[in-house]
Amino acid sequence: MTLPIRIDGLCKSYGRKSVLQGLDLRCEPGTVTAVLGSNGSGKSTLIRCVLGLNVPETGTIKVFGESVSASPAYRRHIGYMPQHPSFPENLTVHEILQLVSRTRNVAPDFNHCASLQVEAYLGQRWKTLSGGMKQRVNAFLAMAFNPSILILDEPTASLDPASRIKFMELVKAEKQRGKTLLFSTHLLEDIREVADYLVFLRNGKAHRVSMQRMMESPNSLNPHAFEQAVAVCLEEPAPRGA
Amino acid sequence: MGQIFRYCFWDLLRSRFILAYFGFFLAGSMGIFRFSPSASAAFGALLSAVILLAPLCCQIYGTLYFYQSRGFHELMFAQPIGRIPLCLGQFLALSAALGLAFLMAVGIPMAAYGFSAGGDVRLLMVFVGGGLLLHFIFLALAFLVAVSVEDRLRGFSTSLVIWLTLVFGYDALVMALVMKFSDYPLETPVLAAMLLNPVDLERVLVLMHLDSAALLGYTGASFQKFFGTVLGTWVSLGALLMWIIAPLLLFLRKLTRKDW
Repeated sequence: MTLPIRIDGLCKSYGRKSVLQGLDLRCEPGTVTAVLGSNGSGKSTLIRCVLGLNVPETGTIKVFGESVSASPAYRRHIGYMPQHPSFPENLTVHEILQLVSRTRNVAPDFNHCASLQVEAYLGQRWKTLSGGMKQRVNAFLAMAFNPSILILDEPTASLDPASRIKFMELVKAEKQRGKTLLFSTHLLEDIREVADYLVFLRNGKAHRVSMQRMMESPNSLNPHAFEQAVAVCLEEPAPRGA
Repeated sequence: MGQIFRYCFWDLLRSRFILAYFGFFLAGSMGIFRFSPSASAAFGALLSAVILLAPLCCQIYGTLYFYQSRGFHELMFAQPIGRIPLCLGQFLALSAALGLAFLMAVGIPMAAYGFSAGGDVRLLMVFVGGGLLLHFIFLALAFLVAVSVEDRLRGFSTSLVIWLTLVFGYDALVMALVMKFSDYPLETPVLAAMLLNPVDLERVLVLMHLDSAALLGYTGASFQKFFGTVLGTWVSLGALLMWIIAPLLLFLRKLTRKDW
């Protein structure tokens, strides 16, 4: 089976600091994988390597069987939502959509993410949009071209509670449509709502645990059992010889 | 690349900086042509302003523009488009926008005053063509600095140092060497030195078409002998183009290997 994302032996360092050390990861179709780790553990580096933004030293990354180092064409499968979106500030939202649409050779589907209500400010220039509006356009750009894979880098970090709830509804809808999601976050609420798998980054390696297993807490009466289990997984030392 | 060029160019045409750049050069050129006693004097004064300020604006704004585009690059690199078409499209858009602003700001007063005061077409072409090439050269250098230096403050400082070196430092060095070796025939080495600096090359090419060239004496005559020929024109053009191509190739090489 051709996996949406398959990573083997990924190594990446910045100068002398080794961030990823032989990381392996599989993302199955239709699953939501949340990447967790302490600051500097390599969450963003992992995502950036999949997107081709960072060039790994060794290892292979394949998206639907296409190597990410071969050609940028594999990115037609991916919708990416960065934490802080930015566009040429004098372009209108309509022009930005046209630009991305022409780059991807796909027309945006406005019905797909109607709840984002992007049509309301199509004529506005990027620099005149508020932070919340920019995030909506950002989410729209990631989802409106109907990619098979969604990669989200701390997507709800700068959203207010109401926008966060709306956004998570969209993510759930994408999951139901059979999309594969990979996202990094610090917010355990987001994970609990949508994730199928948790990937803990420790010592440059990925340790994948299913959400089902995480929820099978020995102390299910404890309301913080999930948070405690995550904290334990984040601090657990790497297995010997790993 | 065409799409990136189109949208970035459209974005830049609406930017305040480009408007201010156009307005500044338009007002300056109008003033110089209006109050100068002759076309030759006006071109001389305008030349000083152009070779001093156009490289500075291109170097600083080009560096800042690239740094400010980081978020845009990150988002666009996640689309099915290569790094080279994206950044080359941006470079061409920025060069075209600043070049167009310069062309209009300097061209309108030249057309209005220059010709009536006795300016010739060749001088106009050398002046405007050379000025446009200076825009491409300093923007290529600015992009090279921005892709090479991660820290914005250091990048900004590096850009200033490059501008200072090419506009002032290089001349000071050449002048010091000429004075030190004044007993030797230096026409050919000085001519070669001019070819190695785009700012000097533009200055010499324009001066050779002005009356003031006569004031340069024997050196001016030897310059005229070289730059006045077809070979000299092609060598000058080649040198200016190399100043665009070399930094641009280095920029693209660094771009493909850079972590974003």
